Amino acid sequence: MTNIAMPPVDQAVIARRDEIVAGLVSILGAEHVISAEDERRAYETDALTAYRAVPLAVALPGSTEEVSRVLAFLNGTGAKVIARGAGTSLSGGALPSEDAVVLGLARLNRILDIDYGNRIARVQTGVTNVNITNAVSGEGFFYAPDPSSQLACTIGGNVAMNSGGAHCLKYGVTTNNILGVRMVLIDGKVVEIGGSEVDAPGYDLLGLVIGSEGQLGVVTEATVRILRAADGARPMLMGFDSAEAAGGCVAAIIASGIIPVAIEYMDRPAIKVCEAFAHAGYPLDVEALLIIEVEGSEAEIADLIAWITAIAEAFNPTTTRISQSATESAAIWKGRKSAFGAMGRIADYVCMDGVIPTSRLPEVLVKITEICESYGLAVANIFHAGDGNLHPLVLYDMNDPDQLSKAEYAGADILKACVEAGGCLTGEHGVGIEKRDLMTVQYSKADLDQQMRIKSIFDPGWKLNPAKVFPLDGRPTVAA
Amino acid sequence: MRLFAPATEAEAAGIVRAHPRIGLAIAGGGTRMVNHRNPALSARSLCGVRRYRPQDMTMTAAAGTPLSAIEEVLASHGQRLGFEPTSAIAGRSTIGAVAAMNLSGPRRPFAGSARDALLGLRMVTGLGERVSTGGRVIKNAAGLDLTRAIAGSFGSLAFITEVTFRTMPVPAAGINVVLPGMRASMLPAVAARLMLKGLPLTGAAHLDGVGLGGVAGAGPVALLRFEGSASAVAAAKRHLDSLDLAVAVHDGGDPWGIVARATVLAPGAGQALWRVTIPETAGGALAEQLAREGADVLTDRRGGLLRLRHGVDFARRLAALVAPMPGASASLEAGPPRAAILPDHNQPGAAMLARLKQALDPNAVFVAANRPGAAAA
Repeated sequence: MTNIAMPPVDQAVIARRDEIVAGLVSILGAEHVISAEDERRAYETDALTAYRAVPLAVALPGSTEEVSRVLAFLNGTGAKVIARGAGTSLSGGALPSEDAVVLGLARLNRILDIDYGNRIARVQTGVTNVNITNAVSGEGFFYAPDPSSQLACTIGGNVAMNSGGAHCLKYGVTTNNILGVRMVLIDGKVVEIGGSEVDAPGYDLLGLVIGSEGQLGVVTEATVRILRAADGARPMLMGFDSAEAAGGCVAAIIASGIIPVAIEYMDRPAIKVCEAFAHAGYPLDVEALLIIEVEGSEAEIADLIAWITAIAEAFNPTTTRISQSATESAAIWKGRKSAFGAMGRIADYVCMDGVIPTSRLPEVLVKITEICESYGLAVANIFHAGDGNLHPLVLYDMNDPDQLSKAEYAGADILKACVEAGGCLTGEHGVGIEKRDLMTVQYSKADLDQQMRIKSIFDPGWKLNPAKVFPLDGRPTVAA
Repeated sequence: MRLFAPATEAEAAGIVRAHPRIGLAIAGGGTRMVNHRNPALSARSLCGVRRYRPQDMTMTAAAGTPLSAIEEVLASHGQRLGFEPTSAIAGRSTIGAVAAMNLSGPRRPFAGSARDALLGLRMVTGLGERVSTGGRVIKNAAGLDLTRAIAGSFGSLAFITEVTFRTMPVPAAGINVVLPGMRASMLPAVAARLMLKGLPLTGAAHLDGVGLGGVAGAGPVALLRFEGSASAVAAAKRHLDSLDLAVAVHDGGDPWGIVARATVLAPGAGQALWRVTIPETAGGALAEQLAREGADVLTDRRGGLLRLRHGVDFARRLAALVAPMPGASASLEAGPPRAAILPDHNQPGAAMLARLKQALDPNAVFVAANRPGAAAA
């Protein structure tokens, strides 16, 4: 059994299933509506696989206009609506319910316009993260946020979760790299928010929409900032005897005034698994490994590496290796970006996403180990150290019915420890269902009431992704 | 006129709850307030840096803390605010006002806006509730991001009591370069080319007919800034030297304050100062056209921001010029009210904006102190 309660299923909606499917077919055509049970089952979960529910139907609109017509139709049916990009959410953001229609946006996969002069691109939101960079890399540009799932995840999902990635230390997260969106409201109305970077007068609804986890509307197009790629980039590996030494080294680098493009951390269990998977040449005899990447011209890269190496001296690194080739750099990053998948080969895990002030790294890492030990579970740590965004993987065995429950309790204790240390519940994976009931740890009742007031104004019937983000207790009463 | 200056957030909430129908005009240090009809709610007594560890790259400060005090603390640790807020007005502008007005400076297109650097806020809403949004760490994806919705709302949604923002290290090296004789319409393309070369551009402005604090003459002049590691800045200088352009290093203090505050464009009698935000590639050409029509123009943000001084009656012509340009808008920065260019309430998002007001201040307790039309949004 799992620990997170789901709201009761609306049987009246389930009873209207045939009618709802027929309505969707009349808008989209039968080929773009999935109604057979075995085919709907493909949409029963996302990357938080411990939770599953087969949706009422799956609609696959091919344009903003179709999204608008589908929402206008569904708004009168009582069905809930779960927008879905590629289904890579680690927090259950795309998890459906039996009384919900999944709105799959994968067909919205066109890049609409690229404007190198103003450094922006307009894309449909079913485009994958990496395909934006692929479309502009020929001209020397890239799209900065780079979640590990970037091969699969869509920009729409990134907008919903305010996704990050290893290179966000320098370039910021999704909200810092999106200039505008086209969004469809629950009643089918299409609105344009933002558009080009001008700090025009008026409220910033865009900031509110990004990271709103499908609570306010369905985003069908996004205008993204593209950046000029650096001349070159080089990762280096540094191994340490203790978490304290590695954590201290991270803090010292940041305090010295350098912001590397990325500072990634792996502990011993994570190094072992990632090395076995990617053969990246990670040292196996260290307690903690840092992957530090710097970028710029050849001269700049040399300067920065010399500076970082000098700072690290005080923390007695046992290994220092600077990548000597593009192939080696690719292997180093492949190991890091495959980490979650590689870990999945040896154990089931729940992946946490807490954030802490960088200066508290060493003590919180010790605390995480203690928490997991108290539940008799192992933990592997792989995370973005530069911005204090931790990803402890709490390992468990799905075949043991007690262990998932224990892993979830351990995860909750870890996130509470992050908030106590001055941090927050999630840095880039979003709340979803996974952290929904922990929101009261980070926010007071007044804080959450204010957020829910905004939700209610955009979605008065609470039909958009309703089981997520806000604890079930304390929600406003919704008129039927 | 009555002025409330609560010393605590709880006191501020009490004041809001006690005045549900009067209409409170929010002020920070009171440096920009022009609304004298309503009682003012000031953050001036909410003062002090509350949390700052340089290696965390975040700072939390009470909303009424003067920007100058914050900049001083950051500088003593080799850090700064990346978005370069304009701290001009008598050094008394507050950090709360920077957030409420989304005040960013010339570094904005290169390092992001005030909004980008904001991580979290505490505030009192129009319902008199004390609300915290966002977090106190660099990343936070938990819940709806009210922080950015409040930033730039000019005190029309909530009374900000505490601000947390990201800090940045001061780069090791920096240089200001002047290119005399360059036309404004060239600025966006020149800036784009320098950035494509990978040079660390952090300022790109153009002035025409207004001088630059006596350093350059009154003719057209481009002003560029490069900041980064010593080797990157040296590479920028080498590159500019290799071009067939007259290049002079500007070493007479910091010229960017002049650009940011447009002090060289202070309007005289019968004149007004407006600002136009516009997509970068269109900004340079519009600047030249405005100059041809008799305006004194300062172009900043590689073409994305124009400030212009002209006779008060130019307002109507400016509005007509800007209206058909996609992504452009004009507003009055200094001058008599009749020079104001009213925001377009028929814009597609107007109904959406009203929803935000309804969610945060449904009884319209807050009226904007200094932005015509904002309270009605």
